[in-house]
Amino acid sequence: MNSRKNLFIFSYMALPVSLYFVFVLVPYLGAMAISLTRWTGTSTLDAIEFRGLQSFQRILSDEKFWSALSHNLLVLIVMPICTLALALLFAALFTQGLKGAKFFRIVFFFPQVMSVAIVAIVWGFVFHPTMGILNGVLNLVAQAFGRAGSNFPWLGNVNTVLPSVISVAIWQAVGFYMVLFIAGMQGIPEELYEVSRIDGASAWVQFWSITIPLLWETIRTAVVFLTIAAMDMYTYVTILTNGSGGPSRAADVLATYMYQQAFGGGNNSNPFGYGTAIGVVLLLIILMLSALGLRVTRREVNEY
Amino acid sequence: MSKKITRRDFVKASAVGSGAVLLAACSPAIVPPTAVPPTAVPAAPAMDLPFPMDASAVNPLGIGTEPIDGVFFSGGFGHDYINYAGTLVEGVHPGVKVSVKPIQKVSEELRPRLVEGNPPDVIDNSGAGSFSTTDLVNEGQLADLAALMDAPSFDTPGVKFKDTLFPGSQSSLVYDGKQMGVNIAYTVSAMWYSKPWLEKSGHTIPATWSEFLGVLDKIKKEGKMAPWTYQGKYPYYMWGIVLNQLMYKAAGTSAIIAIDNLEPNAWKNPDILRATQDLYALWDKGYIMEGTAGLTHTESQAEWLNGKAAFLPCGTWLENEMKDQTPADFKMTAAGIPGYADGKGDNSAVAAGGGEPFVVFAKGKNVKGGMEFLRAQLSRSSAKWFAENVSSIMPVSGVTDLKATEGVKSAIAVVETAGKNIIEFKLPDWYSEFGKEIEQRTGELLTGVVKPEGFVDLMQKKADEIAANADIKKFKRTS
Amino acid sequence: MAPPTPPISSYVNYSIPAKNGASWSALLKVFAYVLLVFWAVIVVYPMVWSLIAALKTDAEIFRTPWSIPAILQFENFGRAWKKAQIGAYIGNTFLVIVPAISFTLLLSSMAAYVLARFEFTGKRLLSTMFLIGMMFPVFLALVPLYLVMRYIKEFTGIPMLNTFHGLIVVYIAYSLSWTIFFMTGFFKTLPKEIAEAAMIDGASHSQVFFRVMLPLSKPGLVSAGIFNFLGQWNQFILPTVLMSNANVEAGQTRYVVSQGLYYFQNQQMYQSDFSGLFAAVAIVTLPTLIVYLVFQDRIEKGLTVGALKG
Repeated sequence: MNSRKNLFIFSYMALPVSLYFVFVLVPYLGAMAISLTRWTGTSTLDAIEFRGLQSFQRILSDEKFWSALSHNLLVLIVMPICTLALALLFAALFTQGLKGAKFFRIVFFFPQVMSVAIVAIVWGFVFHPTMGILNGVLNLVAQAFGRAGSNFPWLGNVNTVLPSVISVAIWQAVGFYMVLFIAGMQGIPEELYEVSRIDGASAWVQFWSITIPLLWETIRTAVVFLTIAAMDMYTYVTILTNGSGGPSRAADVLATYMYQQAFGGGNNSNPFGYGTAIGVVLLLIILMLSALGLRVTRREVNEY
Repeated sequence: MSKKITRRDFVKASAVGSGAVLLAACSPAIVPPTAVPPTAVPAAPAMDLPFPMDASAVNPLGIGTEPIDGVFFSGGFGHDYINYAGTLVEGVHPGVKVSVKPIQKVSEELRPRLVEGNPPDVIDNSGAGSFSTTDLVNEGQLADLAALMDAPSFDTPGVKFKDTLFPGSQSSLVYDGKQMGVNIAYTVSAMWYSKPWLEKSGHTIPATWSEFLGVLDKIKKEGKMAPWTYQGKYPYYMWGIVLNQLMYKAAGTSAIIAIDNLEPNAWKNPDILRATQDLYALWDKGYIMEGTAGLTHTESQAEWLNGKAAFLPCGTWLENEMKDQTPADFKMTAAGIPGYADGKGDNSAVAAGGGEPFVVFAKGKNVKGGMEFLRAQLSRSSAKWFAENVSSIMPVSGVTDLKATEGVKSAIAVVETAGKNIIEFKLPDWYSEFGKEIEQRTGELLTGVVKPEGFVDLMQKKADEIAANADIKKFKRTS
Repeated sequence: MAPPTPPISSYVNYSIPAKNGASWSALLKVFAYVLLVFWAVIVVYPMVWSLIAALKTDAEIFRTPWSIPAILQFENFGRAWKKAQIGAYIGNTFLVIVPAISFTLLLSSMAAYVLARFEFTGKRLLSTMFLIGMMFPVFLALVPLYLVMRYIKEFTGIPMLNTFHGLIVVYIAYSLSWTIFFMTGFFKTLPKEIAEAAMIDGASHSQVFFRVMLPLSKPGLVSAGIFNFLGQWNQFILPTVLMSNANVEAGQTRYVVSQGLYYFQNQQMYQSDFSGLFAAVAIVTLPTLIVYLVFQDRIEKGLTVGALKG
């Protein structure tokens, strides 16, 4: 019986595990090895030189690395907070039985199914200085108040480029987490609300004392996924800034900086070793933050 | 997505209209264009060539019948002109198959083949996302083209290949005295305006930058349009067309050589700072069109064509690049960048030269075939085809019977005035990370994020960093 | 590869009646609607604007970005389909993702079933290994992955690079993490008793899996399939490195749809055709829009299928 079971386990796991090992794990381990070397990324493999931790030492004093990381951290703070706040708000509204809720839900979720590349192309035109929708609307408002319009370059200004990129990421993510929270909220037994209503609690109090605690597990998972998204941002930044990382690289994140170093001609001494080292640091940060995110948000899970 | 303009990309995009005038201006004038000995047709090629050939010019490199594997950047020029050169090769060498594979992101698509040690024979290394040619040279990836340079020209009888090319057009691809690639397009860097507008407005283009700032000031006060715009998202245009020329005109050749050779404090030269301050004045005095920094190159050029700004820097490809959006009465015209009455450089000098580099891989299966392809690509008939179908200029002498547009004629006038004084910075070509740095910082300078003093400090810091890095191979120039 | 989908507690029926609806004041309700309409406009308007732009001429897009087209330029779509080869890209994409999704689902549910239902040494390690795969930044692996593909050819003689089967295998490998995670959660929600009853009747583990568990997990499979469709349809980074046109003759293409769109967008720098670009955007968005509208319920429920308590 037991050997039959083991054979079954083996035969079912063998193919997925080996595919995963060969095509996913081996390349990542390979990347870690490359981060310890000097390699141009275009020469054949025999030209690779072992350099130990040289690239990691260089990272310590690389201002552009730290600037990119600080942008990631800003995204990490702003994006989850805004996304969660909006998603929770919409989810709460939709579970209150508003008319038309279904329609809004379908619309709000839609950005999630669009590819990031298309979202970024479309939003590149929203932020366009002269023909963009955003300046168009703002100029209409300005005219209504008798002020002159402007052609503000949202993606061409060091102060607005990163917030612009972040708002696109939020725009796309809100619908997804909203649906997630709707499902979670509908799983909360109605009796809990009835009891508290008898106690005279307002909807606001109920939201904080019942909904949020009972939704906590879902929120935790959402935080982890938003953390991963915040540390990536590669496609948004690349397409919205035409690959430049924005003016003064003001929207540069680790992923785009890594690309610029490894592939974009931004490093003449060790493009691939250094770029890969940045990627390895990024990976470690993601793993650390995910673990941290789960730990910080850990609290008594409410069973019901 | 990633668009970077580097000097060698300048010509990539599209095109200059073409002109016999320019060709005459740059031609070394050794080539009698029509004098072709009638006896010169040996082993009759399989196709009807548009020209007769010297026996010695048919297969000087000694290629066999192996196929030629070419991968080419296909941008504003398209790749039909490459196909044309391919048919020339196939016509002269029966049995040889030339394969032309068009791509865009050259390094993304080809990097794997290089790592594999299986590069193509010949590529067009241009466009956004091309390789740094210098990096390829340093790795020993590229073939020395000495044999090609000394071979007889494809269709200019009695002349060596190298002697048919415009003087200076190939210098950007010389590394340690070796020719490691060939540029197949030629361009002039200038600032552009609408001729009827200038005449109507009563302004003139003065010889010095300080007077020019005065003109911009008047335009600003008139309030009809912004005085200046540029390719906002790609500040490299402002470095590679304006700031480089201001620096040369203020500081002279020796200062530029010092900068290229990474000499200590080369950027701290007061004349270099002066040029930087003069560029910064465009931002500081509010002459740059609002919103410029958020526009791409084609978008800013379109705004300029719509009369939103008076002047714009660009290469000679501008006319062709914008031909669909140019109002009929616009008449775009080039002018040299104004300089200094008391500068150390020649005030009439101009930045002009070759672009669109084609290279041959040393480890390709058919290195000689790759070179033979380039011999056909830079032939007179191919240059003529290029001029007539892509309205652009190949740096090949002796192409006759071509018509030039007004815009190109004005650019040619700029080059003719300059004569031999061609401005060339090598630093961003030699060290692509310096090119990245200077693009970013020029953008910051033009949006007030850094001041001129900060700019030269940052440049010096980057130069020192490269000089101190033993992993980066250094190059030197003496003239 | 698929969009991140956290598990959620239970299979929820959306028709649950409103909670607390009565306590809403009219004012709050008005405020709520204003907010909802505002967000709906933010979501819909950029897309509508793009669709309108797809029907304009380039000059109209630049000069009168706000107006509707004077004449509907349907030929923009034809140009995008043929000249920009969007049609060929879509064909290539289906050639890759149909087998890739099928095998992703099969292999993932096999592994997920084992991980959900059996205790064995190394189980924790394997689960963690699959789990952290979701956190890896994909492009860190790109060049080593390329080398792996190349060595496979060296050792086995099977070409992997620039082949459709090579891309299919890689898509499967990179979809496993998420799909196994998702399906494990799903299998845990299915009652153990059914499998046990079948085993008592003498069925083998495999028979239980294929005849009992797999049919029962159909809702989960459909959800996972939809998410993999969206993820693989939009996949961009992997084909960029593994599928190149540097080996095909002019006129042919190996690109998948996201690559082709990117190529087209890049061409804007040299020969601008914004109306064609927007037409291409519309053509590429349409399949996902249809999938979404048809399976809208299923997609949303899909999010809730996995089990939290796993």
